[in-house]
Parts: sequence; C-alpha cells; structure tokens
Amino acid sequence: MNISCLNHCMTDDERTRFEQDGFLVVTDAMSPEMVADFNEMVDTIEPGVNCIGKHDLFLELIDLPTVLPKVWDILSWNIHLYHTHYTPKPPLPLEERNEKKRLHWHQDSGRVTLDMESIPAPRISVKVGFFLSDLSKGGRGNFNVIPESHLKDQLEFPPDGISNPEGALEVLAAPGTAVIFDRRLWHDGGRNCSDTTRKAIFLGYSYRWFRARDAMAVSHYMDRVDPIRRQLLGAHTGVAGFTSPTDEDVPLRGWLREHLGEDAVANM
Amino acid sequence: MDVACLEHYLTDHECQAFERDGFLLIPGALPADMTHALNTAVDGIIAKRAEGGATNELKFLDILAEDDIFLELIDWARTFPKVWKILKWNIHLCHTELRVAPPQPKVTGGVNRRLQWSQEGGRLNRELMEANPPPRISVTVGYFLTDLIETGRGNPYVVPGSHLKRSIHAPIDGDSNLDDSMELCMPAGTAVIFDRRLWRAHGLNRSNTTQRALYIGYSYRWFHPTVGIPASYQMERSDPIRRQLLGATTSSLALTTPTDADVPLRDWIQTHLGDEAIADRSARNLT
Repeated sequence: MNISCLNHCMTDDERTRFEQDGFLVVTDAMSPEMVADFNEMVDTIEPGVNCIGKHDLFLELIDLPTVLPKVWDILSWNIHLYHTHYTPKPPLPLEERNEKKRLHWHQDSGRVTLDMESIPAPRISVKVGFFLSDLSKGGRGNFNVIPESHLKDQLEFPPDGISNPEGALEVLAAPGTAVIFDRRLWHDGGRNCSDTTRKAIFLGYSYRWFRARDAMAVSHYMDRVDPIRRQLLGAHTGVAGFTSPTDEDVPLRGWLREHLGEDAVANM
Repeated sequence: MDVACLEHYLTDHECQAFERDGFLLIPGALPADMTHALNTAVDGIIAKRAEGGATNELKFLDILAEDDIFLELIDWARTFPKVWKILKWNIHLCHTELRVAPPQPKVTGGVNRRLQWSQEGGRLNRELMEANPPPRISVTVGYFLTDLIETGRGNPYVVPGSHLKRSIHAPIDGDSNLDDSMELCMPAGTAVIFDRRLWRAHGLNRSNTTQRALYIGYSYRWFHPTVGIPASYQMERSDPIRRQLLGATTSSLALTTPTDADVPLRDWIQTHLGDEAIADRSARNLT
C-alpha cells in the first residue's frame, strides 16, 4: 500500500459530516481510466453478490487509496470485507416511469439491528458504493438516502403509502464517485428513468468478527496479494484472532503503526 | 428438545436480576449424576490433553468433540431456555471451554495480588463503544463441577452491574480488587449465566482440591465463533436445533437473514409459546 494514501485520511470536516449524516461523498475516488476499465470489465461478469472474486480488477478497489483510509478512520484496523456486489440497474420500462411509488428503504445487514438491544444499534460495518455511470442528474438510479437516519432504528413513513419519508434525497454523482455509508443509514438504489443502465459496485467493510454475508470466494487471490489485501479478503490465523488479533492477523495495524505511530493505532 | 424444558424458562424475577447484575446463578442446574458423568469426561480430557496431569491451571478450548456428553449441555433443559429468552432465537455456539484449577502454591508474606479481571469479547469491548451501553452480543454459561460453597476455592469473582458501565474503576494501590467485586459461592452442579460485558475474574484456589468448570458460550449467528467446526458425526446425529447451535447454515446470507431451515429454534419457540415469543421489538424493513 502506497504511503501517499495517507493524504486521503478523513479530515475533521469529513468526519463531522459522516457522523452527522451517516454517509460521505468522495468525488473522483476513481480516475477516469479506472472507471473506463471497470465499465468494460463489469459487462463481462455475472451481476450480483460475491462479485469480488470474479475479476482481478476488483483487487484495485478493495484498498483504493482515496477510500480505504477513510474506512479505517471510521472502523479501525480490525476490518475485512464482509460482502460485495455488482448491481446494474437497467432503465425502467417507459410505462412505469411516471408511476408514483415509494422506494424500498432499508438498512443493511438483515437482522443485525433487530438482534441487538442497544438503541440506536452500533455501526459494525460500512459500505462503499462506487458509481461507474453518470449520475450527475437525478432519476438515473441514483443512490437515495435519508441523511441522519442512521441513528433511527425505525423510520416513519407518510400515511399515503407512496411518498418517501421526509428528508429523502438523491445523491448526485459523476462517474468515479464513491459514497461511504453507515450500515444503519436508510437508503435505496433509486429508480432509473434514464435510457442507460446504472452501474455500481458495492464493497462492504466490517469488523473482522462479523461473518461474511456472501460466500467471499477469494481463495484464488490469497497467494498473490499483499498482506493487507489478504487481511481485507478474510485471511486469519485462527478463530480467536477475530476478536483478539495477532500482528499476523492484522497487517493493516502494523502498517498504520509504522506510518502514523503507536498512538494512532492504540486509539482506533 | 423436550417441551418440559419450558419449566425452566427465565422468570420475570430472574430476567430483572440478570439485566441488573449481568449474571444469574442457577442452583441445581446439573443433577448429581450428570455432574459425576461430566467429571468423568473431564478426567478423560485431562488424561489425553494435559501432559503429566493437571498440576497447573489449565484451559482447554473447543471441547465438544472430546466426549458426546458435552453435546448434552448445549441445549440443557435447565439453562438453555434462559439463554434463548435473553438472546432470542438467532443464536449459535461461539465458545466452549474446560477450565481446571489445581490448588495454588502457598503464597508467602501474605501478598494479595489483584485478580486478572476482564470482559469477554476482546476488540468488541472497543468496537461497539458508540452504543451506550454497548450491546450484549453473547452470554456464557459456566457449569461448576466441584464444590465452591466456601470462599477461596477458585470461585468466580464478578462486579455486579459492571456490564452496563463504560469504564471500571480499579483502586490505585494496584493490588486491591475492583470496587464492589464479590466472590460467588455455590455447590457443585450450579450453573451461572454471564453477560459477555460483565467484569469477572477467576479467584485463586487456596483449597486442597482441584476445581473444574465448563463454559458454553452462545452468540448471534453473525458473530464469528471462537470454536472450530464440530465433528461431522456430531452434526449428523444431532436434532435440528442442536445443528443450528453447532453452526449449520444454508448460506452466508442466512447468518443475518435466516430462513426457517436455518433457525429451527424459532419454529420450536413459536410452536410452544406463540408468535409473541419470537417477535422482534419492532417491525422494520430488512434486506
């Protein structure tokens, strides 16, 4: 991992906005060349979950210098990927585009919030959406969010059954934009009323003790990636290391200790 | 699972005590014959895994495959209904452990050192701190196989109520135990359910008898267990609820979004106690 990624650690302003809103927009997270490569690549793979093992190009995304430092600033160094998906969203049929319909608002990770008794439930994971299509205008299958809703375990819906909750907004994003969002944020993929398919890749990062939500078929990468990528892909020395990691379990900690000092690591 | 286990459902009084204190004693959880049988199985583990016998304090993890009698403990009628009342039905085993504590060598000079206090869960105790209080996530049931009626026999120590505190105060002398700590005394066959967050310690064994305890930990199915994969023959011969507890799942997705096949415990509870007993505290959109 290149040390220059430290230029992309969270600023105080970014942290404040993330904690307050539950999401953070990272413009130009991917270079135009990278966006072009990914646009070409995703057309060759089967859409859906567990996309990470389907093409080597994904390896470039998992520790992207413009994004990963912000992820570890949020969650610490004890992290891995728990879920990945490539989700194209084709245009809606013309007859459905004017239909007034509520989006499918949800929080991520199934029962996690329901199982825990804390109100609000803790974060545990974040997801990063990488947008490959031009979503600089609305109505194109943009990412929809309700800012500050990550601290609400329940959402109030208007009684008409079709309107979206108050405060809902579409995130406008040029190709190459990443959106880091809290697992608990109420969100949805939005309706695509344009004439082109929206393409987006989602990488979920969680604490290492949180079990993967898809098959994470990545064993073919393990012999040829660096230690930090191996950590992110789920490598571990033993089951005790998920909650009490050794240095070998978490090379990211060693890297941060070397470049940011012991205090930075101890406070994560 | 025998419906008679519902006689041991967590009562309101027990529930209040557990929520307040972070632990719950269950006297008589193991009848004398079961305690004896477990002690015999423990003898086998010590003979097999402890070179030279148990002369030092020993901790054996991942014990289920050592003897089938340990399988009986994972859904033990007098404790398990209390566990699923606390954690609900989306649970599995996350930890199994045998702890053997022989008599400690005599300490000279009357030195009393602070015990090794800890919470369970390692990094969880840091990584869930934005919740106040942090969530429970898991509980551990300790089965005490030897008499701890008197103090100083390697009894467990706890700080009641410490599971809800964000920090714990340790006296500055460096030797005294934590404020408000207490030593638990109980006869053999007692079980204690501990909240993961509770500050606790193993006391020193000043008696002339080796003490033994078994620990069975339960957590939500999406929390990575610290036990290995169970022996396949144990999985095959277990009923559906035991298979759930041993970690059976239809997919990775089902750890957080379970189907009926993943959580037969939910169906069992619904059949015997009704819809309310399996309901979540609120209905929410899930994906």
